[in-house]
Amino acid sequence: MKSLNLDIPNLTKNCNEALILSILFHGKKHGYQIALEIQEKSYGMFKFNHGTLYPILHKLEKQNLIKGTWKQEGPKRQRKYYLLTAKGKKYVSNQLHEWRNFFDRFFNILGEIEK
Amino acid sequence: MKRFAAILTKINEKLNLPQPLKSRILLEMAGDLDDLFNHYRSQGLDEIQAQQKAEEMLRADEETLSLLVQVHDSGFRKFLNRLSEQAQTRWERLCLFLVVAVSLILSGKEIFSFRFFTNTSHFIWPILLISLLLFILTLIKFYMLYIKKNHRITKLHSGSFTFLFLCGLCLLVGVGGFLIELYLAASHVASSADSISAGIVWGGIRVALITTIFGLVIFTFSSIAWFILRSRFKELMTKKA
Repeated sequence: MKSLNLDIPNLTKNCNEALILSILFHGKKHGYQIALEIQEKSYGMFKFNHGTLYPILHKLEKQNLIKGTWKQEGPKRQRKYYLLTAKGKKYVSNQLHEWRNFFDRFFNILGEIEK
Repeated sequence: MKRFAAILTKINEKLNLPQPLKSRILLEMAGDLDDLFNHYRSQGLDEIQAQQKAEEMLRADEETLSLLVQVHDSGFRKFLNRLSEQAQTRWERLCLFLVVAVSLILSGKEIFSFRFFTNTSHFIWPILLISLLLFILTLIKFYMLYIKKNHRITKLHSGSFTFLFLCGLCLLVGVGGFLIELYLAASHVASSADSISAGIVWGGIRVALITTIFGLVIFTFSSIAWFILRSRFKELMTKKA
């Protein structure tokens, strides 16, 4: 069986990154939109504190997985939105595969209780 | 945006980043706060409730802000952070950097010339041996802490007291060597029947001082290596915890 590339000790961090990249997969979004959409689509299970979101977004930006762009909205308002780069799209597609493998193996063990 | 001036001011005070990066981050936060406020208002909350909920959603505490700072730390700042946990202010880091840089520039040419080793006291050789041991130990610890993937915590800390002992010994041999050489020279001058020129006396002192300087240089570099390796050890311990 192929070994996982998921960083198991930092599973929460991987999970957060995967969620954010997935939300950006279908279009650009502002930071607050990312958090709200994750919360909405997970029916409240994944709640992102915006304060926690910024270090993750900026780290992903530094890794060139997402790109932050500023846009003038009105005379005194500048807003930053994020979109997924080509490298980010490839990365999140790999992450999907990794997470599927992870849960397959996880339920291989947990599923034993039903037997 | 004035609505959230208080929370943004608090974040501004705590966020230790250079401009204009800091302003950009605050602008991003301000924009998100405004949009969150409008979102909660559209959900039927009143102004005060919407403002409170938006601020609650942002909640940039100390840990979050330090994570944000870490993401944006330059390689140079990360290096300076590793040198000392206490030297956290910009001035302390700058002073430490200047002391090391000036010492290197002023002493480097002299120390790394072969003449330095031929015209010196016998005590230079124990210091050279200690420096070699320290260099080997640094390489081993560097490999264990930075390159090796599977870290055994019990083994990570091994050798650190030996490292400290050798650092201190280097300095002691340097100072002790100087004093012994000075004593021997003084005894020779005192017992000599002929008058000895000042040039010869100061030449002898110069030779004795080389030992001390070399010991001090090795001590300085070893201390820096010690800080870097120690901070890496702490980082690994935190991760394991």
